[in-house]
Amino acid sequence: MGSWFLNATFLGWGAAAMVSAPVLIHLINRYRFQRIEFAAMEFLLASQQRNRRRVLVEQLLLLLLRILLVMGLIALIARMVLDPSTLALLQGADVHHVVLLDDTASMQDEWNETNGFDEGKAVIDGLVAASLAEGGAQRLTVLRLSRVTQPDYLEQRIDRAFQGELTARLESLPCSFGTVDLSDGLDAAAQLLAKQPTGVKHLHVVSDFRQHDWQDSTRLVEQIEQLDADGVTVNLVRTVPDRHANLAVTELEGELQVASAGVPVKLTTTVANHGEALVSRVNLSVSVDGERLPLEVTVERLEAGKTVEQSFEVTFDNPGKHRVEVTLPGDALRADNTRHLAVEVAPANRVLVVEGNPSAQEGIFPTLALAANPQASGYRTVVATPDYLYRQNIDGFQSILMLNVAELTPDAVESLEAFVRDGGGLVWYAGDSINPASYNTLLYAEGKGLFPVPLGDAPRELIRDEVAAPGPDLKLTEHPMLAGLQGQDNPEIEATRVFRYFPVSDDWQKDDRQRNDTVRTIARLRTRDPLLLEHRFGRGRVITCLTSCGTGWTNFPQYRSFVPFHFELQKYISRADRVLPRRESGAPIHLELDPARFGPAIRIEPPKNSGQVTAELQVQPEAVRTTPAGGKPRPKNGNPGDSADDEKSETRTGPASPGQSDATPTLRRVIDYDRTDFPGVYRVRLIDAGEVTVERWYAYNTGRDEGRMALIATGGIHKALGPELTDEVRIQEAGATEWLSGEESDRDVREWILGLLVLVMLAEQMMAYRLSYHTSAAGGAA
Amino acid sequence: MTRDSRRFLRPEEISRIARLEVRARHIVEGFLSGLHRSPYLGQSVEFVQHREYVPGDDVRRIDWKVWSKTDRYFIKQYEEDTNLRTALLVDCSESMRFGTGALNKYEYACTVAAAMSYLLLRQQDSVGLTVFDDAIRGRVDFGSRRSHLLALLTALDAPDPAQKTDIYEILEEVAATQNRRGIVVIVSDLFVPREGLFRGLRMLRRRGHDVLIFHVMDDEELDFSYTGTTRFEGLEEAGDLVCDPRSLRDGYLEAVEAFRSELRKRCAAEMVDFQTIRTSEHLDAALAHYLNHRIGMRQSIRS
Repeated sequence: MGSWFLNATFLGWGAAAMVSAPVLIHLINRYRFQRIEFAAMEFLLASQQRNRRRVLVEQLLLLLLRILLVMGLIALIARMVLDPSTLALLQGADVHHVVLLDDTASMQDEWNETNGFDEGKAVIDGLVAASLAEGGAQRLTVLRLSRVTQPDYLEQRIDRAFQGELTARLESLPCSFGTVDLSDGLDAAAQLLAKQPTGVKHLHVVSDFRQHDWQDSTRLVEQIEQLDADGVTVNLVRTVPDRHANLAVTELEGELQVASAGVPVKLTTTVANHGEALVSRVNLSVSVDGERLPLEVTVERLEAGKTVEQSFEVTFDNPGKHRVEVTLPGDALRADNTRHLAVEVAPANRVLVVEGNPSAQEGIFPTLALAANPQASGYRTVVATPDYLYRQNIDGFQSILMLNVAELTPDAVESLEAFVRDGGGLVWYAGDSINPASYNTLLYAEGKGLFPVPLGDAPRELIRDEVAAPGPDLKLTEHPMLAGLQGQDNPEIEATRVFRYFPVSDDWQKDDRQRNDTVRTIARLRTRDPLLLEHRFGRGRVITCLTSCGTGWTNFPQYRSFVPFHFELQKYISRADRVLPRRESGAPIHLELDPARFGPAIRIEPPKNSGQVTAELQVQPEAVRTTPAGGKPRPKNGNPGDSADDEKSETRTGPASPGQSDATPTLRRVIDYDRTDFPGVYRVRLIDAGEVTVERWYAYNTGRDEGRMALIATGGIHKALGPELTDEVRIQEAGATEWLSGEESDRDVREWILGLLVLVMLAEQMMAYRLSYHTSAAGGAA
Repeated sequence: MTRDSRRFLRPEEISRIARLEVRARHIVEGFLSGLHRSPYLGQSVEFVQHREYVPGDDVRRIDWKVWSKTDRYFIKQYEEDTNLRTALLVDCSESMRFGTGALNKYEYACTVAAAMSYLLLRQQDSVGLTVFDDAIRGRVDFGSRRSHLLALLTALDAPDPAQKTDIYEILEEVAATQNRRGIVVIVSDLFVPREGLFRGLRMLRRRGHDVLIFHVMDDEELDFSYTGTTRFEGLEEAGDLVCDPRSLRDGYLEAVEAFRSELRKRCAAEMVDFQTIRTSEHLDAALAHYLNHRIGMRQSIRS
């Protein structure tokens, strides 16, 4: 009883005396009456005999109202802290607690041998204990933010047995490493609560409430407003008291598409300082396939709130798939200290060079540029004639260079289209041999083919007039492929001369902004005619150079810049499917496999330190309708660039582009594997028709934003909620437990009591007026 | 007329009631010719019928003309006018002392009696008066002279009573002393044992009296508009009661209405005129209402 009052010392004899006062007053009032001599007593006594019980009840009711009045005053003075929900309990109402537990990676924030997630679990424990203490019909639903569609407990009746089970379950409950929008959790909770039309509904949002979660709070506020309108009491429970220092590895990438065995691959990692203080000399460790490399990557200085990129080279001795991990020293949030990367290393990067005029020997220039020392560069070139395109299997090449090819047969065009559509790179070089009519018909194909532009009738000389039009021949645009060639450090670009080139057709719109296609002009001549263009065909990239590869039409091959240009060109156009998918924790692995190519057995190996067991699955084929333009539906929190994991023959994804084939309903083995919370590399093993094991690797990492440790202040939440919701939504500070026992709702109860007192006073006055003697009223009657 | 006795018949009330006429519902006997036709056949000017002579008849009434034609003895019968004998019975019990307006019930009853006496004496009817509670406290014999009014008013000015009413014995005594049929007017609140009352009324009716009851009630007895905790101290030793009048009002009014309803029904069964009068009503209005009502009844009976 004492726990219901903050000022319990007032209770006792004083309260008893006050409560007894109305009884005395009531009795005194009973003897304060007027006297009347009356003749018709016979009828009055008959009425009194008939109404004796009712009159007695009225008198008792008046007495009760007066006692209630005094009890209300006592409750106010003693600061009663009875939770309104308890009042509902007394009325037999059903109380439903829905706990939305944030289990995103940021909840692993550690301090003093605890962390945010453990604190959240303690809140649930405390809530259940408090509910048991209150008694009544109370139910609990626990939703974890990472899996809101799969409640851990759904409307579970709270009793002693459940409390024991819950405590054991909470101990083993893991925190995820993913990123989930709080709005998704509120949506799920709102839907769940909407199914309960009556009773008392509480939504406890147990989270660390980071600043970035509330940057665009419009949707959150709307959801909370709706919940409030639906009669749900929203209770925001903070679990992290302070902001802690944290460094995070937010990115690990590199030139993975051209990684080859024995050739150093440049990797770049990004480190962010999410703390409030400058950090210096932070050493990162790099591991390949679990083996730590003798490599020191050091961040010398990183200011608070800033990021820094650190590049380093890793050499993979053997071809095949490899795991790369970059790890920071431990800090408050360990979940974002390691970044995982899966790399497909080729034995060598094979490039096919097709010479249209073998006698000109233009193929020697890219060969020398790329594969002068194959062991060092990782490139091997094959120089061939156009017949090679349809006589040999060209799938094994990273890219194909077409040098001064006059025209192609339909077979060759078909083969080349298939190659590019599946992700291969293609480069066109012009020359004297080119037949413009054939290019325009077969290869340009009104913008749907492999060639980006319709050509003019004949090559054109670029006349140089140093007086009238001085300056370089080349006008380069901002493009990642040309980033290393531009600037004052490279005078070779300015010195490069183009003597001859193939102009585009006069009908073709040269301004990229005026056209509605994927063709982009990378470099122009000083005449504003396009020289270097790129466009996409299927999943592949096509680069078109309207001058020669050799020295016939330009002097560029004579410069040293020709070599890095070709390396950059290869990186840009090489097959993207060599880059293994990188995803955020929690995103499911979705596979649609051709049953003609793969058997039903699928094995999924999670990271070794995840504690999960290998999944052995048997998947039967089912009909799947793939979407022709937008690709298959992406997992909601999947990375947009992760589509390259699918094999060439599997469902195609990506933006619509020329060469995209229309999809039709097909038979596929479909699997969705969603136990991908733990960061690391997941290996999917398939058995193909030839009983050969095919592996697909998926690198999973903690969400990039999870390391942002700035907490939103309680005032900030109030500000975001606005004045109307500020009074409705309760915010519990980290570590606070008073609200569990109801003391927090003291203000609300006081308002309830005040309202009740007013009502009781009104009722008492009305009843007292009715039952008591009043001289003014009696004057007319006496 | 003493100063006190005059208060029952003030000039303004006399002027108001002077226009009224008292007419009995039944024809009663009387010795004055006038407004009241008698059921008795005697000396008069209006011939009614012939009847064969029987021994004992007054030989002076034999119609010799009929005898000469029929050789049989017939006597002539005439309708005879009578004067009205009215006995006024006024209740002066303790319950009649209750009143919340200008007059208490007893004072109002005396006013009614005085007004009736004045009217009756003015048309030369005979009026007698009995004032009673549990016994007869005052009596005035019948008289028809105008000077008789003073005796009546004096008798109404009775001392304060304290006894409980028992009306049967009163009515029995009145019936015993009034051997001629006439009108008996009872002015009372009728807070008496019901059976005794109705037994007395039945007895009067059997003896041929025309009975009128003026049931005098105070406004508060009929409306019961008291508020606040009240101690009701009963008159005539009826006991005390502390209560909230509002909570008992509905039950009280139901009981009063049941009482009045019973009176109305049983009086109607005994052919007794019954009229409830509020002490707040003007006397002339009450009497006019009643007398008009009686005229209507008489006409309907005679037709």
